[in-house]
Amino acid sequence: MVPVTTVSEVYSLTIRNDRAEVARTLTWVDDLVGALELSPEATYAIQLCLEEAVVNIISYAFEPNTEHDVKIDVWRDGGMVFAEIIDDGRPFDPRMQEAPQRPADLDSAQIGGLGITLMRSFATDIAYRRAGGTNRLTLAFAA
Amino acid sequence: MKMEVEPIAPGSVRVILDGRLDINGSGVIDLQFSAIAGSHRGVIVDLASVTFLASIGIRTLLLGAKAVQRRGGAFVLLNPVPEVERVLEVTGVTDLMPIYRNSDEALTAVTA
Repeated sequence: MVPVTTVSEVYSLTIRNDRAEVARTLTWVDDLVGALELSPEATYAIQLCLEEAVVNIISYAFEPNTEHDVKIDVWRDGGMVFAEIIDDGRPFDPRMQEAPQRPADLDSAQIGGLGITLMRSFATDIAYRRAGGTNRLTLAFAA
Repeated sequence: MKMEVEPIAPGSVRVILDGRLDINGSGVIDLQFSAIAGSHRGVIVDLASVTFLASIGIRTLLLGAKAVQRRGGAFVLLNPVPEVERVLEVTGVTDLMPIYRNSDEALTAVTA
């Protein structure tokens, strides 16, 4: 296989801030596997991190009952794949979110908050910036 | 996401999940899953056909396991695929409920 050494086309998807749109995001990644030459591991990691990031944004970024777009850009650069999620919600840097402690037993296990734990583990790098009233979360993966 | 429930012994069931346990999949099974967990002492969750697990699906599993344990029962997982198992490990779920590779052992664990 010839290694990809240049930056690929940027593939974009825009979804509404509606939980029903998350499935469309995952299917869209499935459709990019060929074009971006994604390994099964990379595909899983990208889908998992996008689900966690997008569910977080849809659940917490906006005022209730307001309609917003969330844009996702995905591109490949050499051996890496990048996914950038852009929303115009309240400023939120998920890297600042504290990951829950590993629970000692079922009784003490907290429900929720595991999204950031998964993103930290499945993405090789997480970058965030606030620009022009938007949150820009960029996740890197080995392709 | 599909969910099938198979009785395996008095008070015990095998729950066979099939599909993506993402925000949509969890939404589809949550009610039925919690009803099953709330009414059985032994629950085997067969994950062999679950291709994707996100934090929302972990919530489903944790709530079920808590409900079964509260009544002194056993809640175990069977045959997760490697990527799903990695999600379980990273989030600490593997410390909270046993994972079996063999259905006979899982059966013994929940019916003993």
